[in-house]
Amino acid sequence: MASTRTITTFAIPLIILVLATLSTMQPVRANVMTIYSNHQTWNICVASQSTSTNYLYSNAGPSSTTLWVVQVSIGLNGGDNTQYANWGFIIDPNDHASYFGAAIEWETNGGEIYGSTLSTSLDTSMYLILGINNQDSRSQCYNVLVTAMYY
Amino acid sequence: MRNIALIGLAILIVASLATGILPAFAASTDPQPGYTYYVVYNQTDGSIVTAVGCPPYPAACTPILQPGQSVMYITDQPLLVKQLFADAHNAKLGNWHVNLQTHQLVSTASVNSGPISPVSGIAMISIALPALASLGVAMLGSFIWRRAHK
Repeated sequence: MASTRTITTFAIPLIILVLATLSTMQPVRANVMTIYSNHQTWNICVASQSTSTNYLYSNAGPSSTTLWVVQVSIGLNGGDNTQYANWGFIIDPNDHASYFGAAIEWETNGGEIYGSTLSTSLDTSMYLILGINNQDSRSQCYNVLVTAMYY
Repeated sequence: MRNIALIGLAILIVASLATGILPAFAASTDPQPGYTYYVVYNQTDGSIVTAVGCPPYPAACTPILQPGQSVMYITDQPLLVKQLFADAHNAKLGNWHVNLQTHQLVSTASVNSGPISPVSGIAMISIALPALASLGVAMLGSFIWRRAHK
């Protein structure tokens, strides 16, 4: 049977160690991901040699500091198979987070989808602005797919 | 008994294809419930710059206009939306413009005589194809049923 002295020797330092560890822990807030939109689809048709610029989201989500993750994908919707287009999007009206895709030349009709994800911390609501420049000699429709979430 | 079950399954599969997949293809340019539709056009000549189908909330359906451009919302004109996007889907957005006197969205193609106007073209896709598919299913089902009972 363990003596009282042995128990004291091990138990007291153990209790002190546990208490010390707990006291140095910083309280943290559990951030829960909120899906703002899930695979919303736009059909955007752009005339030849023209640019279409649209707010896809405006004044979205909390106005306090928030981490946003926004994914935008673009693909052809009908038309011919020799499209050449530029596209880009920003998720902050102050242009702190922007993506400008390289010029895309689709070789197969609707066969390829290009996308990118932006992640940034905003002090304001989120504004998603998308621009598409159709450099082709014919008009073209594009499917634009967006998923947005914040923490 | 087993043959009848297989035949029934075959009819069910074909019927599902006819009622599910064909209309889905046919309705690709139809206005979608809850969507907002608008066009941006040049104020000088009424030519269309962009036509947009915008999904429901929380999406914002707001174009950023360049100087000399205007926006026209056409959600309340579903037939026009259907015709416009059917043309746009075929790279013929240039067939459309806004009449600056009447402020109406009009198609130059529908004025000109042609083999298939946009309206009849859509009717062909949205009505005739499903009807033909249903007829095909009925005939196929009848044929298989008669073969099974010979």
